[in-house]
Amino acid sequence: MSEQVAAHAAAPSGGLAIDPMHQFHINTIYPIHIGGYDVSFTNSSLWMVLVALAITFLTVAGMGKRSLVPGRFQSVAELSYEFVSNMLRDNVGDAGKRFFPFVFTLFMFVLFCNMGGMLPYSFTVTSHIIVTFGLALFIFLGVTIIGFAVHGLHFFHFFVPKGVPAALLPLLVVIEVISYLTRPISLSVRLFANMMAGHTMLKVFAGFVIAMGWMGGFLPLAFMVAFTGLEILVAFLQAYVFAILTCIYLNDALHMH
Amino acid sequence: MASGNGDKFSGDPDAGNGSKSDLADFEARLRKTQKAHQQPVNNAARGTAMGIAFRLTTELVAGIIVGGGIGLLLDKWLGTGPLFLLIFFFLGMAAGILNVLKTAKQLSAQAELDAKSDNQGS
Repeated sequence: MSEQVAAHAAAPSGGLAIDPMHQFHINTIYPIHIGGYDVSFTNSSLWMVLVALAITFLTVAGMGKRSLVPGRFQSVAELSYEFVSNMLRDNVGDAGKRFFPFVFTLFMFVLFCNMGGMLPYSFTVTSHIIVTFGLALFIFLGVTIIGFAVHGLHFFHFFVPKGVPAALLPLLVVIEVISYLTRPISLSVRLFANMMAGHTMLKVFAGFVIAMGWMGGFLPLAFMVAFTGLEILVAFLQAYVFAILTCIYLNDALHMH
Repeated sequence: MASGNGDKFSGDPDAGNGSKSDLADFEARLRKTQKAHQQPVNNAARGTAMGIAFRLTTELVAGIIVGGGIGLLLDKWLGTGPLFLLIFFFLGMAAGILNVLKTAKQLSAQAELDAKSDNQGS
């Protein structure tokens, strides 16, 4: 993206031709084809691998010393552990402890993907709906299976609202089922739209800085500084919302109403 | 729920009945102390009106998408013109509104809880 900005800056007539969506392009790094499917290693895969390595490094190297008085690194690892642990305890209760590894992995993955996207020249994995939808669908199916495993067929009562006249029941059950099916969509769209909108905004305003030049470019530049701060907040907030909604869905499946 | 999990997570498989109640007692006291010392770290994350607004909007839109999607699929499958699309579009809207109400209830309950714990803390 930045090379492109530089290229357009050199040619002042094409100031508006800066493409803010270029940052979302998927580039194949190592082409792999299996059975007619394109499973190439792309820049998106590369960033997922980097994120996984960074999280592993943080937790393994951070807790390597196990000192009683934690250093900076160990503090971060312990804080993130306690953050997720508290979230799980507050929203699911003791029954949620079994799902701690999953929720911790999920939260850290989304958080690091979002934060990694804030680095210059990086690729934001979570700005693609297929990634967030894949995560959300996995959560949705998993939670539904857990619900049936814990409650058996009794789980269908989840779709039957209490204290409703029998005549209205068929209609309301259909509405409840649709409302249950919206979960993966709202979960994935929220994360994807937030990340994509924010990053597009940043690039659009970066284009303004170039287009307005030395005279008026400081205004959008100042805005960008503030907006970068907001984007870091959004990156954290969306990871938090993603994890907490997973907790709420887990709680619904484990304890029903 | 707590009784079922007691022995699973106590970490000591030989724990008898006496130590189990001790453990429960300890856990209760631990939670009380933790709550007393807890700082409102999550409030900033929970807040931001924009986040809440965005959450409610996606719920509403997702309902319509899912409803319309189900209607379209049923129509394609049964070949019944726009009949099911129309029906499920409105059902999807209803589901979206239901979701918004549920989320809003959840958020206000959370806000009440936060306000209560803030009052106790000060």
